[in-house]
Amino acid sequence: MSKPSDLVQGTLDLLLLKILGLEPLNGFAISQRLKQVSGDVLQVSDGSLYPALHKLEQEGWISAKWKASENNRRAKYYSLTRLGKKRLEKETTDWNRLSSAISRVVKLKEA
Amino acid sequence: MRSKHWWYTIPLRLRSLFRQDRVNQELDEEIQDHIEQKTQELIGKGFSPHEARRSALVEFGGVEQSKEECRDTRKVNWIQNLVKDLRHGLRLLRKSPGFTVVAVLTLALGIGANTAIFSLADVIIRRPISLPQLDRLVAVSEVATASDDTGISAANFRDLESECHALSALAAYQNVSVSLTGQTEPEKLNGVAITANFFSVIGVQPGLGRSFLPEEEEAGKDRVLVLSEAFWRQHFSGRPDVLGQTVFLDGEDYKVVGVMPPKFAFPLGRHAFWKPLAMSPAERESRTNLTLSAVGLLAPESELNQTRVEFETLWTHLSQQFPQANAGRILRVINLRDQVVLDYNRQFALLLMGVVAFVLLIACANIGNLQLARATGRAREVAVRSAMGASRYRIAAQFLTESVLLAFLGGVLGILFAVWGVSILRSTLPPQVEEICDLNNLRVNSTAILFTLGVTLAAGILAGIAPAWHQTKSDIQNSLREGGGRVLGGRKHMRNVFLVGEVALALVLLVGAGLMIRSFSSLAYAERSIAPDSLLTFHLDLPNRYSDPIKAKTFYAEFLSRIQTIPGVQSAGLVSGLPYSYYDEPVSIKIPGRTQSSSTDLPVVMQEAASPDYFRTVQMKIREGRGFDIRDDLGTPSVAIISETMAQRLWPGENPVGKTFQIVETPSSSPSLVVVGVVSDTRHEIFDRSFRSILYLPFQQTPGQSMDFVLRTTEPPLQLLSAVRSELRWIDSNIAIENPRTMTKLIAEQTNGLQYVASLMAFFGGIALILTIIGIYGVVAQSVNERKREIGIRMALGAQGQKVLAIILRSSFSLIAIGLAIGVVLSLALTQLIASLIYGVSAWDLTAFALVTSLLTVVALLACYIPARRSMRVDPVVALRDE
Repeated sequence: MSKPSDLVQGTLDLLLLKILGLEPLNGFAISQRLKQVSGDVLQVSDGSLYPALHKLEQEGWISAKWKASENNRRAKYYSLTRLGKKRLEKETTDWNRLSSAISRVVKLKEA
Repeated sequence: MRSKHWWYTIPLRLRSLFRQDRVNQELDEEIQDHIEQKTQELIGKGFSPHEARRSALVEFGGVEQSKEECRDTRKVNWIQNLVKDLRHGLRLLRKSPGFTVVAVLTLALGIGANTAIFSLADVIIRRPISLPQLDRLVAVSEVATASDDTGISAANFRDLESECHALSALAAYQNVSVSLTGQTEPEKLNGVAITANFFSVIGVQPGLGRSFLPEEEEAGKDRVLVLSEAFWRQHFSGRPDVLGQTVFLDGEDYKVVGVMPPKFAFPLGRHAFWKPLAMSPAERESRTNLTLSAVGLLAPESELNQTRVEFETLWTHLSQQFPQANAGRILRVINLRDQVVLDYNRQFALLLMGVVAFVLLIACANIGNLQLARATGRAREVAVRSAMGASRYRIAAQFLTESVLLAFLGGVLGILFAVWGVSILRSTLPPQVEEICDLNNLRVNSTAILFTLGVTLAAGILAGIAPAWHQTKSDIQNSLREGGGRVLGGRKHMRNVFLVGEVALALVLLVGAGLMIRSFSSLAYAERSIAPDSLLTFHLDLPNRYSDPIKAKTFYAEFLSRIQTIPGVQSAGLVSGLPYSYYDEPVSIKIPGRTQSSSTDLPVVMQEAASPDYFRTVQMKIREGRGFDIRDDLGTPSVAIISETMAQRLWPGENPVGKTFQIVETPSSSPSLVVVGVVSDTRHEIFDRSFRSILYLPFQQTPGQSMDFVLRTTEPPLQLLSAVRSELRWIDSNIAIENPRTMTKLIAEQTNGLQYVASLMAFFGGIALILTIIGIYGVVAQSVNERKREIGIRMALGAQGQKVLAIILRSSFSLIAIGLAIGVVLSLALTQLIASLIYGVSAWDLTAFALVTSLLTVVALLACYIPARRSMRVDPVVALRDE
């Protein structure tokens, strides 16, 4: 299991915001979803997941609510705020720009 | 968007701050829950419960570590942010001592000046008098609607005092002027005659001895005095045995029964003593002479409004009882403080506050610019922080905090400067200021410190807004790139705004100062045509024994003839009140054959008594008819000479010589007066905007008890003073010559206050100019620095040094021109606000505007030129190479 240590902090934010933009989830479910959607390529170590989530909460981009979960316990569910949605749009744009620039370079053929 | 962001997360942050335990517990729960779920998943995959749990924990990584990191992100709430920023800011300031010292000093001077002037304005506007119960004291006065004459008549005072219930006591007082005799040279003293309850009403009792008894308000029993502390120190060396000593006033002996505590100043002005108010029976009955002032103490349950209502009722009763006497006057009841603060003074104080505020604004612009330049140098630091997760707003907040920290340091030092400034003010303010406020109150008090706090905060935010704002716009990528060579457009724009703003503000300030200076000089040199340097002036107050008009007339005639024999005296005259001497005596004129609707509609003119040679001495011309001569005496027909303005006003288009009129206020069956001449106009008060209507009567027919004398001399006037004194002594050795001075000095004393204001404004204007020069220099130097590559390219392409210089200068000049234009427009608008404070020149005085604009243009151009010259010395090779 490779630790996604190359993921800069900013990119992790983008991923989390996107996932939460689709539906509210709790921490465990987020990490499952991420693994599932990316085909196990992107995995976040649980230890760095929660600090990232808390930071997003402090910035006001996600908000948290305690809900009753399946096994009759409380679970903390995060969801995207309106502010967060704007942030997500911006981060997506930035990411697209960056990745397409990199792709262009990578696609260069040998002269 | 930034404010919404903060607002949104406030409950969250508050919770982190105040309910830490709860939040920590929730964090625990959350993580435990995650591990639980993980464990369940692994059990599902076939692990044993024990192994599943262990595996889940391992996979999680350090639980405690994670919790700590979560707590760390939370710890980033605004109070801790602030503390971090402050510490970081302090560190940065320490690292660049040059910048810090310059910025802190500049801010300290600006803030200090603001605080000092605020303290002055505070005293003038809010605390001119310091009395213990000032809020419960009211001033009661009658106001004549036609002439604006204010005061209270003795009879009305007695009636009001006995009838009013809203006041627990009403006291009367009157300024008196006497000669201190019994010394080699009599000395003029100012004192106050008061009713016995005066000290209890105002709430300050003599520190030594006692105050007055009611029975001492009778002539003959009133030979007691309470001295001022200053007089006691000066004439009795502060000896405690002063009580019972004798003081000779106007040749009569008075016994000292008390001494006032130090720093007591009511009424305002320097008074040497207080004595009981003893009036003759005739004076007591007068209902028309507004000779007294009244101050009352509100009863514990009363308020000002109900007191006003009660007095209105009382006044209506009195007016019904005495319709003739009380006609044309209303009663005014106001808080004592309001009586002292005149609009005029308030406006000057506010003007000065505006001036120092402008200076501080210019200083903030300079510092803002400096900080902007520094921020660019820190671009990489900022970029790294941002890449590590700090939001733009956090970084902007940090810049703002640094700026406020800088301002705070400046503010603390500024308070020290303010204290120093206040003491300078106290020692340099002209004595006229003591007539409008008690300078003992002038100090940096808690209100001033609160003001300083506010100003400091505002200055810090203002100066820091530019770099902070700029930060929210900057692009990280650009800054991370090596060298960051490209000019960030936002920064240049902001710099230009600063430059234009500074130039505009400086222009407005300098125009204001210029107007004040022009105003002052036009007044000070107002009477140059009559050669005031060769006029000696002084004042005499005749003591009571000259109350018989014949005695007074004889005295004056003899005195005049004696001084005319003094060698060096060309001519001598006397008049009730010289121009510029604060004299006023409004009277109403009744012209036979003209119907007036009511007695309040009678024209009001100023009455003066004069000697025949007076007009000649002050070079006033007789336009029609004749001047006074020895024919005019007691017993001969009553004559009058009127000023041109009065002639124009009362007999327009006609020759008034030979016309008759009556003066309403003359007590006896008012005789008809015949106009025998018209004399040229003369300005009476330095602040008059038009000529007054003045009526002159021969002194032989109406000798007053107090006269001004004026002598035209061939030698320097003051040299003849001792000769004049000896002539006076020969006639009566108990009369003092008061205020001997040349006419020039007399006029100057009226303009002292204006001169002081003009000097202050010039001083601050100069500071603003220096700050602006520094600002322009800095901006142009930065601009040259940034454009080095461009310059290098141009030069490599063959442009001469001169051409490059022209290019640089052109852009700076256009900015300065914009600043000047904005400044001129602003000035045109703002000077209208202070138009009422400017005399002798219009608020849009062309000379002032032109001079100031030229000065500022020249200076600004120089400030551009010198750093721009550096652009000529750019080595194209170096510039192009230097990325």
